[in-house]
Amino acid sequence: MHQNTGQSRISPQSLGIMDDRPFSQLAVVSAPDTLKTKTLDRIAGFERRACRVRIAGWVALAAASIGAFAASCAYAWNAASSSGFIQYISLAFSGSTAVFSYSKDLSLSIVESLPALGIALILAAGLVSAGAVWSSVRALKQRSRVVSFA
Amino acid sequence: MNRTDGELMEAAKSGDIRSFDELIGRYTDRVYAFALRLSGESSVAEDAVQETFIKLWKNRSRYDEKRNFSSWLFAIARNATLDQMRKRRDIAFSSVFVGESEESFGEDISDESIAIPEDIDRRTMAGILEETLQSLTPDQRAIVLLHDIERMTFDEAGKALGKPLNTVKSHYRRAIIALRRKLADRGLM
Repeated sequence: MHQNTGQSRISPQSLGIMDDRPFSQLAVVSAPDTLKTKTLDRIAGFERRACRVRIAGWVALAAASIGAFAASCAYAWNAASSSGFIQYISLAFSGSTAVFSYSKDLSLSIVESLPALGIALILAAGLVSAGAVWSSVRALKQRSRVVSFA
Repeated sequence: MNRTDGELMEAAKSGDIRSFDELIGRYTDRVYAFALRLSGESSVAEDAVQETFIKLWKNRSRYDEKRNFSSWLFAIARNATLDQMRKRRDIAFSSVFVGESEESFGEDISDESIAIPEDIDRRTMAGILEETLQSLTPDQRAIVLLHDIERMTFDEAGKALGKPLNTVKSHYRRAIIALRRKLADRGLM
């Protein structure tokens, strides 16, 4: 601690209470009134841009997966036709007695001739397109919540 | 019922903009004051506040409830302020942030407290404090503001700024020395 000098108007004894956070006496500063609104506007702007990018991505994915879904349906149909699966199905509609009589053979034949790859492709493409559409809707909802609030 | 900062941030993580708005309301003045004193320019401070909250929003999913929210927020605010200062001044900040070695700090101070004269009016004291603050490096200023204004411990301030405890204490002591000198120059000590 510096010693008091002749010029000093305060002696060490007259010094105030020891302050361990002296800078807490700085004047209080308030932000401009518009700052909070500006901040929310910028967040809304960010959400709008981010949402546009997300939606563009999801829509592209949805379009591609819907195309893949159609292609996999065609593939599955061809596979089913060439494997004889369709003929077994038409047998089922020809009469209930045939179904019961040949149910064991029919089920085995179905399992053997099932166009598994085609079905798997249909399921995968269907799931991806449903997911992409659902994500697009969710992104839109989130964006509208933030933007309308701001 | 008043929700804690952590609870608001958890709600914001799931996209609740109203909770985030409440956080912005709680902290705008504090972050603005911090950025203003760190930069000395109101336009820098305004941009830094906006950047801080945008970064917080973008990274809300990374918030860990075990972490002190205000330490995290002020760490972002400090970086946002320095980024804005760099953009505007286009100066090499590296020289400003080169830490002086602990050994170079020869002046011995037993503690960080200081006796403020009783008969000095608040406005004069506030002026001396502002003047002292502006004479410090940005890192020293940030530590003083986090410790004295935000009431963080040295440990918390260090974590917020990514500085070791000894460096934080050393920076703070320098600020106290600078304040004592300012007071002595005015014949107040």
